[in-house]
Amino acid sequence: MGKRRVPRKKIKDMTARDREVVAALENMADDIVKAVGNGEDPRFQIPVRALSNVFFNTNRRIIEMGDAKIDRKFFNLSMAKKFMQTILIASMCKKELLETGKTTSIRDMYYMIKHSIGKTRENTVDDQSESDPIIEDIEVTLETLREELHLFASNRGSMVGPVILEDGGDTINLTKMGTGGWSVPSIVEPDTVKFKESKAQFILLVEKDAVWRRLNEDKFWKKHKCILITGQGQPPRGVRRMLYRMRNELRTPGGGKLPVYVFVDNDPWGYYIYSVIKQGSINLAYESMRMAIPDARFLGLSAFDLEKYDLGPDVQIKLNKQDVARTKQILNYDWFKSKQWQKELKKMLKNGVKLELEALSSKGISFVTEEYLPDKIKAGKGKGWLV
Amino acid sequence: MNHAQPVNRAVKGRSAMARKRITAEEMARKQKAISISEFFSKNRHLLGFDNPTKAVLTTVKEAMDNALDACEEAGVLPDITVTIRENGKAVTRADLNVKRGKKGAAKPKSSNGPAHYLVIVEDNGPGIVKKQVKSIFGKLLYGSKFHRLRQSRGQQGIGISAAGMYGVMTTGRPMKISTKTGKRKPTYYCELKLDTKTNEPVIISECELPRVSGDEPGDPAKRDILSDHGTRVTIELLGDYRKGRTGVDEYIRQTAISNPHAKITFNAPDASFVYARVVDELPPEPKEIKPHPYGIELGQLGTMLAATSEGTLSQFLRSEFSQVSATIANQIVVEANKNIAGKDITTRSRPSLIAKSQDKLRALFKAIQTVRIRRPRVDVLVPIGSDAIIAGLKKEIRADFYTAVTRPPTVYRGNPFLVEVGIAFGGDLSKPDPNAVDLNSIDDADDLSHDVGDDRSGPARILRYANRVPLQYKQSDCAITKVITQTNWRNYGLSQKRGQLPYGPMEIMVHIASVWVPFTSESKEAVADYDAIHKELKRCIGECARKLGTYVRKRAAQQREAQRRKIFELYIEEVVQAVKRIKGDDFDPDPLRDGLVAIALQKTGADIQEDGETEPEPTGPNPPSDGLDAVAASDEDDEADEAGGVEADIEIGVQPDDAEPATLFDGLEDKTSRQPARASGGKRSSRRRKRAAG
Repeated sequence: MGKRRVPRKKIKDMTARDREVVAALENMADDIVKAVGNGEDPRFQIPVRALSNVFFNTNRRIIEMGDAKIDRKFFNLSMAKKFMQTILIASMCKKELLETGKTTSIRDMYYMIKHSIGKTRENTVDDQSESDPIIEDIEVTLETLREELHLFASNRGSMVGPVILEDGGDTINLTKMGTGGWSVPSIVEPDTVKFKESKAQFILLVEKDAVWRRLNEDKFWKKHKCILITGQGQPPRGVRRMLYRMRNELRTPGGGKLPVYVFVDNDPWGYYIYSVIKQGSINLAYESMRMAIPDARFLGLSAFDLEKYDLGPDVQIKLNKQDVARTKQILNYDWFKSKQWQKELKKMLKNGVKLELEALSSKGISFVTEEYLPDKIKAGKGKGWLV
Repeated sequence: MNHAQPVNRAVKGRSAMARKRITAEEMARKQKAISISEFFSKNRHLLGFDNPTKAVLTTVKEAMDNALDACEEAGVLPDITVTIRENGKAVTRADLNVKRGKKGAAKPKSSNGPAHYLVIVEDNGPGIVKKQVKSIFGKLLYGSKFHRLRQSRGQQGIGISAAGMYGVMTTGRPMKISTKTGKRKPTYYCELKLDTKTNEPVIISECELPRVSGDEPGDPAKRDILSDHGTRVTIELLGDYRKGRTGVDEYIRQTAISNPHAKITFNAPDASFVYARVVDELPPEPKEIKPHPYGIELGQLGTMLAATSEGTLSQFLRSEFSQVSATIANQIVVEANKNIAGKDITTRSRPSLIAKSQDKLRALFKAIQTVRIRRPRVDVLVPIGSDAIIAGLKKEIRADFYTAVTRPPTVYRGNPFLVEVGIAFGGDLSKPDPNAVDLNSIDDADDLSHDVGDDRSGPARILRYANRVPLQYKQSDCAITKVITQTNWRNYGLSQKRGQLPYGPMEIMVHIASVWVPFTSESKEAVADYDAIHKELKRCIGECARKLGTYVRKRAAQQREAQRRKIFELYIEEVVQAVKRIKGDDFDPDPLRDGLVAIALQKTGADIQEDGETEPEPTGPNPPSDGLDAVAASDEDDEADEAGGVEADIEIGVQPDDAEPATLFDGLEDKTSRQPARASGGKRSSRRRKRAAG
């Protein structure tokens, strides 16, 4: 590190936001110097990112973060290492990224700060799973976004549909993306991704990559004029932010906002994915307001589909103990307190089984594209989908 | 003392009879009493002359025991010189190996193989009057010690004459005695042999030595005694000088520990050592007591009844035993009559008549066991004392921690005894691994907790003593060893495999003082496991171990603190560099670094406060076994009703800090749960749990 000379940006050359972030990072360092000057144990006050510190804002219908903070003290053996890692990452963000105008992945950041301490075999960090939460800590502490720290996560997620956009200066026609689709970058802020044109009527988020591929192959998006997007499991921030922007910035030919349909497995994890799209996540509650889509529509699989589509025992998977416990937990979320949702969740518990999206293939390979999805969307609120 | 009884060969005769008929007359001719000397010359292993190495040790031991006892009795601070040297060259194994060109030739040998050795022990005791010399050194079972009950080193008076006899048997050379009883008296010198057939000493030559005023060459055995008074014994024997745990050097070192009031000079064949006197006061003289009725055996009672000069049974009981009053004597007689049909035992019965009647003897013996008799006086014993034990340990062992406990005297089978324990821990005893903090191993917080008494030190060494005499052989047969291995040392922060000695850099010294120490055999090498003794040992070792445990935990805590500080020091550099990275090249990192180091010192330098003598929770390095735990727990209960022993503690290397306790490091508690939990551990970890939940 620091062996090769990298031209540095002067403060005046930075964007306004970069300047703010640099000031916030400098504040962190100043706080340490000040505390030590007073003979005090230096500490960071980090907002708590846990269920205990989130609440459901019933007006805005999103999860917001509370005010609870935790002291991360240096002179506490269980926190000392994290403290050191925090200031280490902060210093790298400032010196190696903001000052050079470069952006890097969180994996790269892990390697940037990883080195052995002194002459010991102990490392500053041993695994990326140690540095990633620290980055999130810095985000919440400084009230910055990851991209404002010039960091991004690895890309995950694909998208196709009747949309033309600009990505890093290149114009991309999302109707001509072949079988793989456009890889959704982790940073999709307006200065990177700009919308040019859209003929879409709605957006369909699919949990499973395999199902997304089926829909793409069947050109479902063409027939139904929709944007087809997958996050390959729990959608990463890029996909969620993309959904939010599309929801709020694109308009149907009729001038309305694009409805967002969520198509997930019928299991607690699927419900939670929907919950995150809709209200935001507990871990990243501070970003809910720029990611949550409170009127996202839960299309399926619904627990009621089991009987409705007569899905046989071959495709049913028994709920295990954790599934049941997790579902009971979800039953208690404020945002699932409506009658319909309680019915839905309790129905799954009553079924005692979970269903994967692929279960629909038992009805024929294109059953999902030709019957299930069109029927459900057509059936409308309550019958076809839930909010 | 059954060994001392004449033994006949009837057994041998009978086994021969099975094959060939022999008349009773023939047998009678063969059946003859053998002398004690003859018996022992054939059974010399019973006295510790099993092999050449042990013969040297036993000779030194018997002579030193006598010397120390004599000095103390005369009220003289002992000044003893032990000289061992080879007399005449024997062919050594090393020589043989060189000649044969064997590989082992280069190996330094601790022994040169059996050879003629001279053992010379000189003391500054009161000396011996001329006419007694012959009996003391030339007769087995002769001495001032056998006929009384008193805490003294030698017990039977067998030793020194047996050593002399062994010398005569193996080298043909007589024992040489020089003795002087006063400043103005001449030194008497004699050479004598023991006639093993008659148990009678034979003086070969005797003379008065010319006065000299300084060392001069010549026969070291035949030099004038330079002190005002004293005795020198010279024995030439076939022996082998070996060093090590069971060697003479170790015997003398251990004797120096248990006799800090003695100055001992040891001229070994290869080097000379002086063990300094560190206590300038003689221990008080042990008092002599009569046997307690409870300690007597049937045969012994008979012998005493037959031999007594008292005219009536009541007088006999009152004068020959301790704690027997006229009332008690009456009670014994009443009880005795219950055991016999005739009911004709009276207080006025003649003792010799009772001795002749087996029925009466048995009835009397049984009665003695049933009547409640006060326990004997226990103030007749003289402990080394916890302070002197620590002084002795400190003198010979450079350790970090010393502790000692002297228990109050108590009684086993009518004999008063007491137990003392001293422990030296750490310091030179834990020489391997000089790097206290191995940072390379701090990969995760688990590694922060090192056991203090960990395996690399090997098992603890045990120094066993009976009436201040070191016991070096038969360690595993000894009650002392048994109790130490049965103690759960894991409760005290040490590691231990079940039923084995604890591991750790320590020496455990255990002393049993008694008017009659029960040994497992005549060679006096292992203490017999009587219940009362076992119990006292357990208590005393437990008390000492608890003190050690407190220290070990304190030390472990300090080591952890040092390691924590080390970690902070490492992290501090990272933090300082990170701050500099943010603040830019103009930032001066030194004040920040110094400030952080200062805080680290303040936070981690604090000595973990021990809540007094709290019991460790049973969370040792290994999960403790239930059985041993139960033992430890019941021991505790006993402790509550018993008056504690005299205790002393000395710690070196632990400097309690005035700084506040390092409560900030509660986070560590969970991670170091391999360590024995401190008394406040529960509270801490629950706090930790609470936070983890939040």
